[in-house]
Amino acid sequence: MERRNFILLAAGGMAALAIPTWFYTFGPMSKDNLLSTPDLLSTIWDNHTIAKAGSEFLQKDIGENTEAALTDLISKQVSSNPFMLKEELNQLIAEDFKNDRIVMLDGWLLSVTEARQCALFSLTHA
Amino acid sequence: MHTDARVLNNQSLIEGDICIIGAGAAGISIALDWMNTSKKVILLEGGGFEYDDKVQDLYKGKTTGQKYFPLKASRLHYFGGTTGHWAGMCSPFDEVDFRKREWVPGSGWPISKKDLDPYYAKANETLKLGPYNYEFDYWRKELKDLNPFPLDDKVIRNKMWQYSQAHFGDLYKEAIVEAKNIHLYTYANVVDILAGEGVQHISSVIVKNHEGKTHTVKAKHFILACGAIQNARMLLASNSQAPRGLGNDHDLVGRYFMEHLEIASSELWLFRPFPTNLYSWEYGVTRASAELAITEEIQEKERILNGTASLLPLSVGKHQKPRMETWQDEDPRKSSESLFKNWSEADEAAKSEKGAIERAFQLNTRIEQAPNPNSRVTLMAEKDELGVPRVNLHWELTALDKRSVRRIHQLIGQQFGIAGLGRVKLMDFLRDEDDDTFPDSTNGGWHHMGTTRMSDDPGKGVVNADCRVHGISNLFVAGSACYTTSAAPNPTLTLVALSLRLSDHIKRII
Repeated sequence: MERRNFILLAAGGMAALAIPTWFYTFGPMSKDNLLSTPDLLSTIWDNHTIAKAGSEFLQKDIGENTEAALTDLISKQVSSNPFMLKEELNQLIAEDFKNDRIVMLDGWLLSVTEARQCALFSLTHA
Repeated sequence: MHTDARVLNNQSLIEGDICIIGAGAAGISIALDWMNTSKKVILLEGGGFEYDDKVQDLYKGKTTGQKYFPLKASRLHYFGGTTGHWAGMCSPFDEVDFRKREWVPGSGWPISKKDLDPYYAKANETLKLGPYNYEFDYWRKELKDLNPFPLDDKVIRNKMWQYSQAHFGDLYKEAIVEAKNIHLYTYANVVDILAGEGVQHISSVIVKNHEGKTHTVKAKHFILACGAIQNARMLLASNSQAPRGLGNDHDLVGRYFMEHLEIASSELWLFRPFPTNLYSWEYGVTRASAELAITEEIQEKERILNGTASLLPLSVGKHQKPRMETWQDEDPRKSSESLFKNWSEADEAAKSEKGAIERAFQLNTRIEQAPNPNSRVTLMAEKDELGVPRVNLHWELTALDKRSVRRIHQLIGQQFGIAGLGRVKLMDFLRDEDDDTFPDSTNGGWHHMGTTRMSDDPGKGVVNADCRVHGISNLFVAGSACYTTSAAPNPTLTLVALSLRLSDHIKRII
């Protein structure tokens, strides 16, 4: 193999590894980001609305008003596999609804998990 | 045959086998059922064939309690009655609506849906609807793109509707006028119902008009078919022999007035577009569509009333004013104009709404009102131009009404959450679980029901299962006044069915 081709191939390979790693570690698909971003709600709400709902949840004073507590509460119910996280969160949210774990924020009927996600969003994006 | 009672000689005597008082949906349906029989049917209409403000003014009254439409503007007083401007929404009551539900005080008809089914089928014909089939599965095969939301059908079901364009005044005028045995008298307002000795039998009714003419009508059977408010008014005002009014030995006439609560209650925001024709309706185009309803099992489990939610694009709904606000002119024509003006403005404003709202809907509740003896029609001291006391309508809602509306939308919100389809946002007035009140923006459907409710027990109802006034052998009430409970659907299909059943009963006994 020519030296030039080897360098290009190696660089491409590194990028192929690095970009997803960045994506799932620090980027929009990072665990932290997924935990604090209610995926489905993002399709109907802007960031301001998510943060507003989150603030309302934090004011409920139920001991879930720190970043650590909220992260722990959400993440302990899902695996650490970043590829599965989004799907698992959506399943968890559906389960919340099924089991009456529903909270009302500004009139919205939300699952407890997504309410926590909103709260986390409002803390981490303040 | 048609006679204008204004041109008859004063003090005329009109005689027939049956006298139907009121030519609206109930009265005309019965009259049609007697066409070409050997019986002479007298059909009395207070107005003419067109709107007449002097006649309409006879309906003027007062309202107290929950904000309501002006009484003068909440029905039409001419041949064809309120079908003159109705929207034509038809759906039968559910089986549960007829049953006694221990969580709904005053519920339980003395008849079942099965008793009404044959008449529902006939009413479908009278109202020029499609087949008497309101099953979602049937319509899904009949019409295109009726895709249902994939929700748990043990909780939410699709309550089907058909749409009538039958304006009885136009549709049946010729048939009635040309029928040899139907004698229609226009401008014949009943002002008194006279009973024989012992008040067990009606002998005649007195009719008047603005021309100063007074006539007497005698018949073997009398059917009050003037609408729930006017029927109660006539019974209460006919008090020359029975001081509390006819059929009112137990102080029940006028009580249990019910409306349908029709109110914007929540918003449904879908995460993705959901193409379907199932939940939309266009006047004159849509043959059948659905509203989201709560199953009977869940109603029982949650101890709530029967109700549905209809879907209106939120981009339109957010610009619409409550009908209780736009329909406040005493003149029904002006109220109607104001309503349609607002709807046009809302349609126009909706065009500029873009983004996620294009996948959002306003969920409008349509729900029965819990029977409530304090929700009632009473007579006032003030009289109309023909000397009949005007009425006061006191519309009163209960905590069960409020809780049911709230719970329906919570359940819908829960099911959309489980399905991952979208989220529901409750309107302000539903958020405080301790608040039992309804805002002034709460609409009725201009549906007057229940003032002469049906029960086999004279201590609990004004009419029996045959719609006959308890204690009076030949006086019947036709229409929605007889409803023991009001169910969620608009009343016309059921009131026509019930009237046809009454008609059949009289055929058997005459």
